[in-house]
Amino acid sequence: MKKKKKTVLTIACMLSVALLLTASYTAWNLADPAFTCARCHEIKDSHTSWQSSAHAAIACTDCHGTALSEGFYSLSEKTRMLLTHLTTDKRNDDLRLNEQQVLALAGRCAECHRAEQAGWLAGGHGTTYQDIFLDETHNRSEKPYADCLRCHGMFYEASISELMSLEGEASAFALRDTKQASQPVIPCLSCHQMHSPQDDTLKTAFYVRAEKDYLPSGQLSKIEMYDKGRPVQTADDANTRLCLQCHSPNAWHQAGSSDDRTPTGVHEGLACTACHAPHSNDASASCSQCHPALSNCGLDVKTMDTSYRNPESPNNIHHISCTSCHEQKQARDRRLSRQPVSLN
Amino acid sequence: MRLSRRKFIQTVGVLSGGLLCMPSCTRSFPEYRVFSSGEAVCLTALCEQIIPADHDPGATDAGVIHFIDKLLHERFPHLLPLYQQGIAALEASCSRLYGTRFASLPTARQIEVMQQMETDALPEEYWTGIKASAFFRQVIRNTMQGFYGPPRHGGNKNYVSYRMLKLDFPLVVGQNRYT
Repeated sequence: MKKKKKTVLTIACMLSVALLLTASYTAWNLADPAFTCARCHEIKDSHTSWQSSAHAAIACTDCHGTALSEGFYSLSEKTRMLLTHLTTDKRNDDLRLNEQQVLALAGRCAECHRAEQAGWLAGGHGTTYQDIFLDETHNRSEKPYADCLRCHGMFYEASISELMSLEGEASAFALRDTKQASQPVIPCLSCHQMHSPQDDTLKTAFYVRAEKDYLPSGQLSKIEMYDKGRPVQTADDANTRLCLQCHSPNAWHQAGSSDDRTPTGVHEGLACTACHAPHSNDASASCSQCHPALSNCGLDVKTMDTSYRNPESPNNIHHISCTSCHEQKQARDRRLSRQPVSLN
Repeated sequence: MRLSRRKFIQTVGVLSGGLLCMPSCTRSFPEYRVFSSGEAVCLTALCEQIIPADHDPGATDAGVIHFIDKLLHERFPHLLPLYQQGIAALEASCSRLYGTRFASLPTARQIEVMQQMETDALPEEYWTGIKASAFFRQVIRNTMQGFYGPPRHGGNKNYVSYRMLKLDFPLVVGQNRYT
């Protein structure tokens, strides 16, 4: 009888402890961060920037997770954070999210931004390590090197040689950790800074891998571009400057060189987002925004092969000009034969 | 040791209460890792005279003091005694010569003191164990590093020197494969 009573008491105690811990931890996660996360001096600056950000109404744990949200990994991660707090002198500017945290956070972005995530997955920016680093055609022409990680795998925490083995022919290149293959290389945080001010209407920033920090798009410098020596008129909006950080020209800033897509010809001066949707990059519906209203030749532009992917296409959308269809002489004759416009 | 039921429940209560109190780190945290606030004021004034703000930002705007603070804490702690002795000697020299601290001196007087420091012309009794010129050279070197170096090390806040020099940053260069 006494033994049974002891067992019941032990179980009751254990349940009470579990209940108390659960209640305490739930209270902790639901409490105002000013009394929880921001009590650690390292977090104070992040808490201050969060308060004035577009995500101020969202709790820390909604994006950063809890000690239990990722199972054993998050439990050990939060324990390591606590140990770091207690044993080292780290400041807010020493704190960075690692790649795993960035990807976990991107998953939580999608809980609210479903349409944006769907667009991103459907577009070119939803690409993975496998797509980028194991592209044999590309690797035959240029071996992956450190600067690839400037735009693909910005948050990867080691060097290109630690990411993949580069010995032998391009067909033999392989990712050292096969789990990396399906991970996205351009997650949300590549172009978005979560704690950026609410009044920042651009909502974009460039993650500078070398500095492990962001430059808001509005602070990126305008890039001067040239077309065979002629200065090219470029859009001066901040998002175009952001796109150019990765869709970059060669060292001489020649329009259309390397990864650059700066429009010349009839589309010169247009911003990237004038045609491309920001997350899917889809431009298929954009022609009808201007054509045929602004067309000078009455062609149904939707029937033209304007893809830059097709090197045979004479109508590459980024470089198409009047002379792509018309002989220069014909264009000049037509211009000369025009009658002066009457002002009456 | 036997734990009574009453004691056990008390302990559990205290421990779970402690979980809630865990983040309540109420002690104020110093702004600098290795410098006292007084040392930081002196060193900030010294760095600002080396790279003064004009129409472009200076050493203070670039956060050079935080760069040096971090540098001495994380990378070169062996330089800390040089800084601490140098700052103390500089303050003592200014106090003896002008009756005030270095940071409180007018600009022209600060420059005069720095010229004396550069040529080891400050009162010798305060500069025992270190040379004023050696300290001065070290501060110049670290100020330049903090102002012109990459922001990831704690200085060059908001890329102020890159903007001043109109550097193309981040460097925009695409792949070579198409060219």
